[in-house]
Formats: sequence, C-alpha cells, structure tokens
Amino acid sequence: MNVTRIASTIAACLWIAMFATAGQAADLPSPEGDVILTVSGEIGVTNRDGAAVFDLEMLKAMPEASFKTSTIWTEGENEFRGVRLSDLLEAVDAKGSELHAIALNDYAVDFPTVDAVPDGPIVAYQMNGKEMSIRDKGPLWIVFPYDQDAKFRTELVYSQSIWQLDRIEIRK
Amino acid sequence: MSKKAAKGLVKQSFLKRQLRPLLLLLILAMCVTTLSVLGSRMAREITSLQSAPLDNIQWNLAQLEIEYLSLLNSINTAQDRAGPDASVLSELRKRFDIFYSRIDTLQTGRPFRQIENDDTAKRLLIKVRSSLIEELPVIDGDDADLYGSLAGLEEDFLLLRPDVRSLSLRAVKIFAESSDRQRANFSLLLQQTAVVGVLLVLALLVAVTVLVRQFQVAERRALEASRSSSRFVSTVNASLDAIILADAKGTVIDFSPAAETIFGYTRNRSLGSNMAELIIPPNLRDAHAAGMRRFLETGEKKIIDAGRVEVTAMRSNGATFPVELSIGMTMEPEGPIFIAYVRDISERKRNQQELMSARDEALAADKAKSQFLAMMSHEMRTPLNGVLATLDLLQSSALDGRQEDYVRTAIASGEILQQHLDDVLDITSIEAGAMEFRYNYFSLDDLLEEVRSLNERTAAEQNDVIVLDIADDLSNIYSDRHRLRQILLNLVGNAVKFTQGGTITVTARSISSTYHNRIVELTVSDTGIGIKQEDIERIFDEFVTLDSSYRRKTQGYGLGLAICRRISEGLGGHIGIESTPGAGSTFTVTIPIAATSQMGAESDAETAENKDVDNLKVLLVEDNETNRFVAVELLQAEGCDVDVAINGIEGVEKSQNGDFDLILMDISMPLMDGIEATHVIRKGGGKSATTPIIGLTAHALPHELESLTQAGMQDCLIKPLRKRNLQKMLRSFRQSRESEAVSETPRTAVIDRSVMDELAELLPAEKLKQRMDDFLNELSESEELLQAHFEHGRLPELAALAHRCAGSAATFGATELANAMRGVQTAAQEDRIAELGDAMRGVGAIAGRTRKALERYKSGACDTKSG
Repeated sequence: MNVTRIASTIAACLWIAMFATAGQAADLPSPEGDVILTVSGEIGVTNRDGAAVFDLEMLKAMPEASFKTSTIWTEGENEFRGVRLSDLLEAVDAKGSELHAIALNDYAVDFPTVDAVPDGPIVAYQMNGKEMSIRDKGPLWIVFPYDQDAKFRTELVYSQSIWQLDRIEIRK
Repeated sequence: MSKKAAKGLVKQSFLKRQLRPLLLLLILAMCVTTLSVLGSRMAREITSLQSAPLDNIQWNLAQLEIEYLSLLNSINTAQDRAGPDASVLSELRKRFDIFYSRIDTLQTGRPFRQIENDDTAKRLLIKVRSSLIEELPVIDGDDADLYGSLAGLEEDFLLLRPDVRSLSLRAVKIFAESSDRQRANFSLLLQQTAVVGVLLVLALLVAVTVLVRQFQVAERRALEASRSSSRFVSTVNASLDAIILADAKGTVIDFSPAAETIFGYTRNRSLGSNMAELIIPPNLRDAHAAGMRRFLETGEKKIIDAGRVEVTAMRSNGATFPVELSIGMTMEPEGPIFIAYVRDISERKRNQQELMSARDEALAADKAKSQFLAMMSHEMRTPLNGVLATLDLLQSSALDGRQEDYVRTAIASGEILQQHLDDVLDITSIEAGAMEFRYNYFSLDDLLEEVRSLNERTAAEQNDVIVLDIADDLSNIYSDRHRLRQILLNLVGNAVKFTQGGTITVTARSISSTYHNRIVELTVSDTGIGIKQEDIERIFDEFVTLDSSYRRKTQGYGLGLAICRRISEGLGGHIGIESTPGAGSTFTVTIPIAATSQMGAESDAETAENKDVDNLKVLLVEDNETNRFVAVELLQAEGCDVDVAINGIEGVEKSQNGDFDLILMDISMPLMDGIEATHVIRKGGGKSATTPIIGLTAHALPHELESLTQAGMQDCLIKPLRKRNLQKMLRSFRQSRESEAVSETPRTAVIDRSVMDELAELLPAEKLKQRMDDFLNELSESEELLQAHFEHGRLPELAALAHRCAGSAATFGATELANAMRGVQTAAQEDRIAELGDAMRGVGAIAGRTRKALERYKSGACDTKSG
C-alpha cells in the first residue's frame, strides 16, 4: 500500500466526514489526476467552472458498487466495479430530469434521471479488477446488470450503455 | 332403398351426430395447439425484439468509417503542427484508441458475430486489426517518436482505407440480408398465425352454428314439452275419473278437478296431505299402509298395474262409497310416483243392484212358473198313464169294430195329450239347462219306418203320402234314439198337418264319414202351405207366437220346433228350414253319429219272438193300483210269473225269501221309496240280492237315472209303462241271460263300451289310439313289476302299483281289469296272502283278455261287449 493510497483513503474519509456534516451541499474536492468525467448542467455541487469534474481517484473514493454480468459487446461474464449512477447524481445534487451522456467518440444518448435506480446502472471504472483503457471501452462505461433482469436487456438500455463516457449534462 | 341400407344410413347419421361435436373439438384443439406453438414462437421473436441483443448495428458500422476518418484527420492535424504538440498528439492517441475499440467491438461484440461467419468480412477485420496492432508501439511511444512517425502512420492508414470501406459495406450487406431473413421469417410466422387464426375463427363459427342449432332444437323440444305438458294438463282436467298423484310416502302431489268433485277436497287443501288420510276410510288405512310397505320393500305389486280394482273410498264428509281404482307407477329420481285413477261407481253399483234384484225377481217368478208347469204336467201324466195303459189292455180284449175304433181314437188322443205334456216337461227341463242325452246304438232305418207308420193314419186322412228315401247304410248309428225320434215325429207330424193331398218325403243320407265323425243329414220335405219368410227366423224360438192363422193351424203346437232345435244342438247337430209359401217347406237336420256297421245292434225291428223261452219270475213293486194292475197284465201277457208288492218294505221282504229273475221297482213310493228298497235288497244278502232290478219312473232325467244305477239298479223303464217298452226290456234281459249262460264270466264287461265311446268322442282318433298304446305298454310293464313285487313280498309297493293300474284301467273302461286290480290292492293291503295269489292269477288272465279286447277296438272291430 503506497503513500498516495493512504493519503487518498484519508482524504476520502475526510470527504465522507464533511459530507456527513455538511450534507448534500458538501463541496467536491478538486481533482488531482486527469479529469475523466465532467458533469454539468442542472447540478448543485460544482468544483470547476460551474461543473463537477472527477478524476479516477475521486470516483474510487465514492461508495463502490459491483456486479457480474455478461454484455452483448464482450465475451463471457465480467465483473464490473464502479459508482452507482444514482450516487453520482446525488453527489452532484442533480436537479434535472434528463441525463445527456456523451462519449469520447461523440456518441450521445439521453435518458431520464429516474432510470438511475440504485440497483440499476453503475458508472464502471474497473472490469475484472482492472481499470479500462479507451481501447477497452474505458475509462468509464455505464453498465447495467443485464443478466439480472429482462428489463435491462432492451434496445433502449443497450443504447444507454454508453462506453468511453466522457461527459454528462443534466438537463431540466 | 333396402331396409339394410336405410338402417345403415340411420346408423351413419347417428354416428355423424355423435362424431360432429367430437370432430369440432378436435379441430379446435388442433387450432389452439398450433396457435399456442406459433404464439410461443411469436413471443420468442417479440422477446428477442424486446431484448434487442443487436444494439444499433447500422450506427456502429457507420461509426467505423467516421472514427477511421477522425483518426486520419487527427493525424493530419498533428502533421500540420511544427513540432510535437502534446494536446494534439493526445487527441490523436484518443482517436486511435476509439477506432481500435470500435474494431475490437466488431470482433468480439455479440451483435457482430455474423461478421465472424463471413469470410470476406472476417479477413478484412483481421487485416485492419493487425494493421492497428502494428501501429501500437508507435502510438504508445513518446511524443517525439510519434510525431516523427506521423507521415508513415498516415500512409499506413490511408492504405487501410479501401479495407475499412469494404468492411463497412460488407457488414452493412450482411446485416441487411440477415435482417431481411429475419423479417421474412417473422412475416411467415405472422402469416401462419393468421391462417391458424382464421381457421380457429372458422371453427369457432362452426361451433357457434352448431350451438345455435342445438339451442334451436332444445328450444323446439322445450316448446313441444310445454305443449305436451299443457295437453296433458287438459287431459287430466277433462277426465271424469279422479286422478291423484302421490309419492312413495303417500303425499299427494297432484289432485285433478274431477278428484275435487268426487272427494270434496280442493286441490290446495289436498296437495301435500297424506293421501290415505284424505280418501281412504279409517278401517282400511292399515291394509293400505301394509300394502305400500310390502311394495316398497319387495316390489311385489298387488294393485299397481293390475287393471281396475273395486275398493271403498271416503269423501271429505266421511261418507264411504265404492270406486273403481287403477294405479300406475312411474319411477322418478326421487322415488316412485303413483298415479291413481279413481272412478266413482256408486251410481253404477246402485243400478247394478237394482238390475240384479229385478233379475232375481224375474228368475224367481220364472222358476215358480216352470215348477208349476212341471208339477202340473207330472200330475196330469200319472192319471193319463193309467188311461192309456188301460186303453192298451182294452184294445187287446175282444172288441167289435166300432169299439175298436173308439179305443184307437181314445188312444190317439191320449197320446197327443201325452205328447203335449212331454213337451212342456222338455221345455222346462231345457230351461233348467238340464237336457241330457242317452246315447245308444240303433237302426235309423227302423226309426224312420216307425215314424212313418205312426203318421200313416193321419197322412191318409189328409190324402198325403209319406215317402222314405234312405241313401246309405244307416242300420246302426250311435245317437239318442228317443230324442231323434222326437224330432222326426215333430217334423213329420207338422208336415202332414200342413199338407193336403201332397207328398211328405223323408230322406236320410250320410254326408261325412270318417271313422269317428260321421254326420247324417235328415230332411223332411212337404208340398204344403209353407212358411212366410219373416216367420222362418223365429220359427225355432221358444214360446214364439206366430201369426194367429199359423197358430190356429198348428193347433197350439208351438213348442215342437223349439224343442227340435234344442235337441239338434244338444246332439251336436243343427236344424234348418227352407220354405216357399204355397209350395212347401223342407226341414233339414244334421247330426253327428258315431257308427260302424259291424257293431252288434239292438234292433227295434226285432219282434218279440222269444215268448216261448223260460217263464221269468218277476217281482213288481208298485204302490199305484192302476199302474200295478196295468203292469201285471202286461207282464203276464209277456209270459212272466208276477208277484207283487205294494210298497218298498213289502218289496224288500219278498225279495228276501223269493228267488226272482227280475224285479220291477217303482221309484216314488210311500214308506220306502224304490231307491232305498233297492239299496236294502242289495245289502240284505237275501235270495234275490243279486237279481237285476229295473226301476220304473216318470222322471226320465239322466241324473236321476244315475242315482238309480248307483243304488244298484240295472236299468229303468220310463212310465207310462207301455207294451212296446216292456217287451224291449224283457228281450234285452233275456239276451243278456243267455250270453251269461254261454260265457262263465260275470256280468262285468272286459271293456265298458260306453267309456270307450266317450273317450272316442272326446279325443281325436289318433290321440285315442296313442293313449291306448300307452296304456297297453304300461299294462305289460306293470304286470311284470306286479309279479316281481308279489314274489319278493313287497306288499305296500304292490298295493300302490295295483291302485295305479286300477285307475288307468278304469279310464279305458277296462272294468274287469280295474276290479281285479282293486282286488289285488285290497288283498295286498290287508296281508291276505292266499287271496292275493288267486287275485294275481286272475289279473294275469284278465289282462290278457283286456289287451285282446282293446286291440280289437283299436283295429276297428269294436266288439267289446262282454263275453
């Protein structure tokens, strides 16, 4: 366990403590590494230029969620780990009703924020315990637990499973 | 159409009717199954559509080229910079990674598996991917190297361009085809479903049609049922007989209007009540309940379905009355229902009662009249007998010509008077249904001759001629001579009376001649005044009053033809008439006669030639002085030694001491009548205990004759005692004495011919012969068995068998054998061994004789007379 990990754990603990005391209005820390996700639009929490930006460590510091599922784009069953989309929206105090997600390749999709149910989609940053490169549809991929329920195996859900996620806009 | 074919058709239509719903069900089931199969396939298709495992393929494919161009573009941008610009190169790397990721997705993603199956596409994909992998070191190298390699990179990627293009087009084509195929499949599935759906709808339509038709049929039946029910109600209501329905417990279920009228209960009052309490008198309820219990327990029907039964019923006011009841029953699921039809017959009973008492009164009056008539004629006959007998005697005394004429006239008138009296007696006996017949053998020729001679004088007075025409040999026929004579005298007498200076023709011929069934036809034709057609119908009726002129002419002789008819019918024959007024009448009598010419006939024609034979010792027992006088004179004239007794007691006394050849016994006498006297004589064991006794009676009815025979008399003479009859009796008596003298056998006949003749009358010839054969066989067997029993001393068995044989023998009139058997039986029963031996030997001899006699009878040589 290296120093940065310890430091980040402490930071996360601090953040949680702050979050617990300050509630939803808690400020987001500023990213130290490369920004891999930008959330903008109707949100209550920002940390840069009216938007909430996240590096990998910040996402990892958030409550973790994981499940195993197969996908139509990958072979076999894989374990995905990441942040619940609902947690993410809560963290940025999303106030809109629609979520507009954009990928690095400019793929974009809209879905209602109510679809971000707690046992639904996660913003995955690890597949089978490893971070995902752009070549492997990383660094972030909105993944649904497809195997868990048929409602997650629809065209709409597949279209919402956006990989190489880059930005999210919360719209009214 | 043949019956068989029609039957076949019926059967076929029955099958059709049975099969149709089944067939329909089958079709429906098939449709549903097919539909469900298709439906599940559709559901799968729809699920697969819903699951959308393919993502947005077209978009992905389009994205391939776009991302390729973005990559090229970012390379060009990086080349335009003077040196390695970090952000531009980073963009280049990102574009490379995105393109790489796209290629990777195409290669591994499930939606793009079909690319794997297509050789061209696969080859292109692998080629593009390997090119990308070749570039990886450069892309992942540091910025300076990357910048330096940009030109080469561009060149490499430009080379890939046609491949990327081809891959893209190829993939589009693959998915287009696949999607076409899928659409086609889906459309086929839809079509199939549609077809099955249509079929199902059709089947349902048919089902609905069938249901509608069945509904109509059911409706029609319901209508018919309701009509028939209403008809039934009308029928019940119209019935004058009360109709009551009750269940097994006796609870009234229905009560018809007639029942309301008859019993006095309203329908509403009676429904649900106990029937027995309503209409059965209290004293009969227990019997009714017992009957019902018996029926319910055993099913034994006494009144149910037994037709009309007369019972007593009760009205609401408690009055009982007679009803005619018939009960039917029908089984219903809840138990039996009884349907009672009750007819009030009190009115009818009353009428019946009145009619019956009226009839009884009429009968009583009629009987009184008959008794009076019989009495009167009997009372008149007795003195008349005296007159006639005396005239007979007077006639045989020395008379001059005139005196002889007077006497003859007196006798003729007396005979007419006697005939009238006889007629009245006949009619009364006919009315009493008591006319009986005495059959014997006689010569019809002689009878006709006698009838002719009796009428000759009257005929001469009328200038008539009587002609006899006898066609066949009728010298020995079997019938009742007396009755036949009565008919002929009547017919010929009438013919003579109604013919003046004409001819009366009497013909006799045999019209049918089988052995046992021979019929003689007698006709009496005259050329007299004839009878009017309207009178012919009634001429044979009793007490008919024909028109006065006829009556006058017949001199009140109105009973004769009625008697003739009765006699003819009684003899098994028939009498008829054809007549033409003014031209004459023909009466035809047909009667059956059992006759064989071989039979030894007693001939009436035979004159008394036997006067010179031995003098008979005769005892005459007679209380009436006139009769006694006449009888003594007649007997002495016949050469008999006569002793007289004036009553039964004296008769018995004299018979004890005197050894008489013959006893003539009057039947009705004071102190001791003839029957009792005979009885005493037979039992008394005096000198004349076995002497033949001839009864003298005016009551000539057969049942009376029977009682005489039972008392022990051999024969009887009907009073008035006339010379002719007496001569005849004596003749036959002398004959039997002679034959007795010749054969040693006692009077008992081997075969009693009268019994055989009766059998012959009763049974067809074939059957009689069969019976006789049976009897003969039985006789042979029994003889052996009797002997065996006797030898082994099995006396009870011997007695039993002898008893049985005696019975059989008596049936065939084998009187001698029957008597012998009885002797055996008695001896065996009483253990008298010595006697039994004699009896057994006797049986052997008699059985031989009996067998012979029967064989003779059978073969037609029926000489079965004793000896």
